[in-house]
Amino acid sequence: MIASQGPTGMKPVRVVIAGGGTAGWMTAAALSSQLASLVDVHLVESAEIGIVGVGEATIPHMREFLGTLGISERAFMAATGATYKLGIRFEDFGAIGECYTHPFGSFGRELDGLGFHHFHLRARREGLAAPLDAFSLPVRAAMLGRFAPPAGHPLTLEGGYGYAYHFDAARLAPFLRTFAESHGVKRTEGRITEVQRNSLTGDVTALRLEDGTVISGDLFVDCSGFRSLLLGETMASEWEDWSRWLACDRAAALPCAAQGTVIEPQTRAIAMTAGWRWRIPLRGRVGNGYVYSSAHLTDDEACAQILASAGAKPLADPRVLRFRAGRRRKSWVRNVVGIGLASGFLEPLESTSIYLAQIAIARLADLFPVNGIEDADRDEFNRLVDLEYDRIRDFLILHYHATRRSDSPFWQDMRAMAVPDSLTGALELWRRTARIAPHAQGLFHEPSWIAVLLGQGIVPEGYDPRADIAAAGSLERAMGGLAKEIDRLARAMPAHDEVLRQQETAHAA
Amino acid sequence: MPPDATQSRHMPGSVAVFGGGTVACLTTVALARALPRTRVTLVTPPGGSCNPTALADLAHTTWPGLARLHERIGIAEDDILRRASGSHCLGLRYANWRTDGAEWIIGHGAASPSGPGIAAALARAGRFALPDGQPGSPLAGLDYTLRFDPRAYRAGLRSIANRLGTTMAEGRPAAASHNETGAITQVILDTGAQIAADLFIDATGPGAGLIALAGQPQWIDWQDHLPVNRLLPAKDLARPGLSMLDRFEACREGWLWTSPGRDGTRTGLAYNASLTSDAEAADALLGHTGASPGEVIAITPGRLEKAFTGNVIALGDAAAQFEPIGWCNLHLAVRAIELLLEILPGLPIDTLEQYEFNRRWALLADRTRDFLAAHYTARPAFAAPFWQAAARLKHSPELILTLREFARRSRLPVFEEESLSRDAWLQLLAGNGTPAGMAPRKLAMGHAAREKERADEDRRVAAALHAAAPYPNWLANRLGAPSS
Repeated sequence: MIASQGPTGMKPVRVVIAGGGTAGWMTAAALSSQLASLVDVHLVESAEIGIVGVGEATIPHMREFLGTLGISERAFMAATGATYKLGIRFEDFGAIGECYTHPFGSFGRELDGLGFHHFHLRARREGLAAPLDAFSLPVRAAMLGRFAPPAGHPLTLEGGYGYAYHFDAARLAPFLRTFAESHGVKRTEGRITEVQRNSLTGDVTALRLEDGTVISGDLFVDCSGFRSLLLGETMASEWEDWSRWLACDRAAALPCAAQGTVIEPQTRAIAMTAGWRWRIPLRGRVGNGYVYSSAHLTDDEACAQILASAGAKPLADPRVLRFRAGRRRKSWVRNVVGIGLASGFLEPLESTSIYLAQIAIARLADLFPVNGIEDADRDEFNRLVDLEYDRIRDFLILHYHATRRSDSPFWQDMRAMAVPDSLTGALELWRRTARIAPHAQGLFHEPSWIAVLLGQGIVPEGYDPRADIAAAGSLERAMGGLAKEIDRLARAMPAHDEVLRQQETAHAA
Repeated sequence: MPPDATQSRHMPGSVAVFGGGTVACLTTVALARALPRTRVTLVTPPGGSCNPTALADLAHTTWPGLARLHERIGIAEDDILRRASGSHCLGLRYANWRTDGAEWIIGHGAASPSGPGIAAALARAGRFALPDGQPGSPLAGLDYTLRFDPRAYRAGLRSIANRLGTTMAEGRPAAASHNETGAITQVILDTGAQIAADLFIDATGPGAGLIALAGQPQWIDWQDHLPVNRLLPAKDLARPGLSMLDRFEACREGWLWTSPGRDGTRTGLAYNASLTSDAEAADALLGHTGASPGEVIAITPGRLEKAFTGNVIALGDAAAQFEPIGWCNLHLAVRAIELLLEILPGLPIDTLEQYEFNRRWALLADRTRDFLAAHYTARPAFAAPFWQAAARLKHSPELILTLREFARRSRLPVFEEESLSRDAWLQLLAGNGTPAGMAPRKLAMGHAAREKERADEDRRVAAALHAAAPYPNWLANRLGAPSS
């Protein structure tokens, strides 16, 4: 029985990580620090294989990841040139000229257990309320270019939101490498030329490098990116293709110089004729990129369009990245676990790629096979990872499908596509009753769905009739008062770039 | 923005709640508060009596969730203490369930990472304090529930309902008229009176006399999952007591409950009729407790496939019946009322909204069943047919996953709805002897860190004990204080 034993005397599980990008070093850092003497972590990476160095946007869970590792926000932000993020501003998605923000937080306040949006739907019908944006502190703050971390009880306006970071992705892996190596992670530089397997069990036993070095292990984590060397190539874990719903398969990335001093505390996502483009404000520069469907746009056109629309001085030529939406049917096969792009890919529209790596790492640590791998471990891991992918997938599809745009073949296709049954059900429930079915696991809860659904013009036919109880006058006063209070709180926050400047000064001192 | 097509749905103009017990009264108060413009009618059996076989209505205690509902619908704890012989309870004590004879406790509120939680420690010492929400307080994770005299409690709820303008009627549902969509437009009572409403609540207890008029509800049988199908409560209450724990003791025939309260101590035997005759049960109850037997209650373990059918929603024993370990019967009803308040159906009733209610309620009900079923992974020292049958009970896939993950690494998988708290599950599985593996992260902490965690916990427990007072003193103090 495990319970009666301490780690002393147990042989550490030899974990070999193939690939040293963001996912690889996140895995190395987390496993080495959290599982300590239970593991012996060895990471193999090759300098020949570059890192995709575009600006990276995250969601608030990133803070949890740093917290678990005991890394301070200050240290992380200084090392990666990070800025704060309060949400994503979506432009031209529902229709050209329309925009909305998906903030890290909910809108308004619940009243007698009834969600704010029901009251807002009523007020909207009666022409009594400001747009939904006015009822979110992070949205107001982001629009004003201001930032302050949440303070106080989570049920108050001041304490009821979250935040995340934009950072320079090329600098995260080296930062985590230092951390991981200080926790005993070994690193070997070299190209993997052979994957050795046990002929009876099919388990991977070792990786052989170009220079002849052989690295053997008990558990192999595939962080080799799109190549999926161990999970895809060696284990032949089948690919489940989702491109029929998520058509974008290319990105033209373009780093630009910053303009002026204002650093927006939000990501911008601007719909284009064959996809959308991101704008990620970092310190000293701005990440830009056009995510598009190659069936609807050539690479040259995409590069020309991002150069034309970025509106700032490019720091390099546009670089085209290729990908496809989908996931491996199984993320854990035999003794190989895929983490990050090796296990699947969902485009960056909601900044979820680091989260997907993070959640897979956390589940692996939860289910870590201390005394040998059992089928049940793999099944549970795969069930949990699938759940995360499925939930994000539907939410992303929503952004494309919930549109009235017909200005280009791409948007016409998006509007007309048949979406997964799970999304059809959610849309129908929303349209008829203004309800979002809750879920206990996975990302994107009611406030997120409300932001995108209403933001893209899916106004429900009905709402909870309890919202009709209050007299119109008092509803209008309450709504007006709330919007005013939120505006006041937002204006009391310091400017985002001022917060960052003070951080830099403190760091230098 | 597109032209705004939002159309208001209507609130029900009238709701009729059928039933004379706790569930009906709680639902009536909840609806009267939530729908101030709706005419709410409470239709009770003659004399305002309660179905004597409805366990959620017989319950004199349940889990802490009831306090949350009280707060939400404006029921003051002070009134229960003063007018319904109310007292506080910190948890459940289990005796004789394990082969080694060891007792265990499920304390309310947070379980501790090592050893018993705060509630269990206070209960063992007979001490009590109210939870303290301040982070860092030794009483921060504490929770408790109430015991009460169900008859006085119901009377209190009815008087609140009265104050809220509820119409009272008496009679039993006998027939119904339907409209062209199949919805019930009015219920004809056995007295001949007619009750018309837009929405009906069936809280009539086992048999679900009202929902049966709405269609042919499908019943999902749980007899393969839960072994008890008979209860024999003692005829009379034993003398009052102020223990902080309800006791559930395994015996050859099944298990016995003992729940002290200010109005008396309730006790009874739970058994299976095919293994123990009612006469044998009466002898066993007398032998184990010295109490004379009361009226036998037959249980058909199971639930409605759909608690919400047409325009009728079944709650309490009308919707699900099962053995009363921890009086989860009332707990499930409380969770269902909360769900009703969340998804209060507008008119016209939307099939998707109805589907959502049924989906989520079914998950809550099944998880409650699994919580009870998990008790029977314990093996008492004595061999008896009841316990041999209990060892062969069916486990749902969710329970199999729960037990397996707990055994492998003390982990509780997350499910889409959870009826009892994770802390309760952890204490149950740790307590009943389910082999517990250690979580990898905890294993990695090393011996010293685990010892430190234990020492920290011991300090917290000591601080909590210090902050608490002997319960009789605490209660006397509270009752002596002017009514708030």
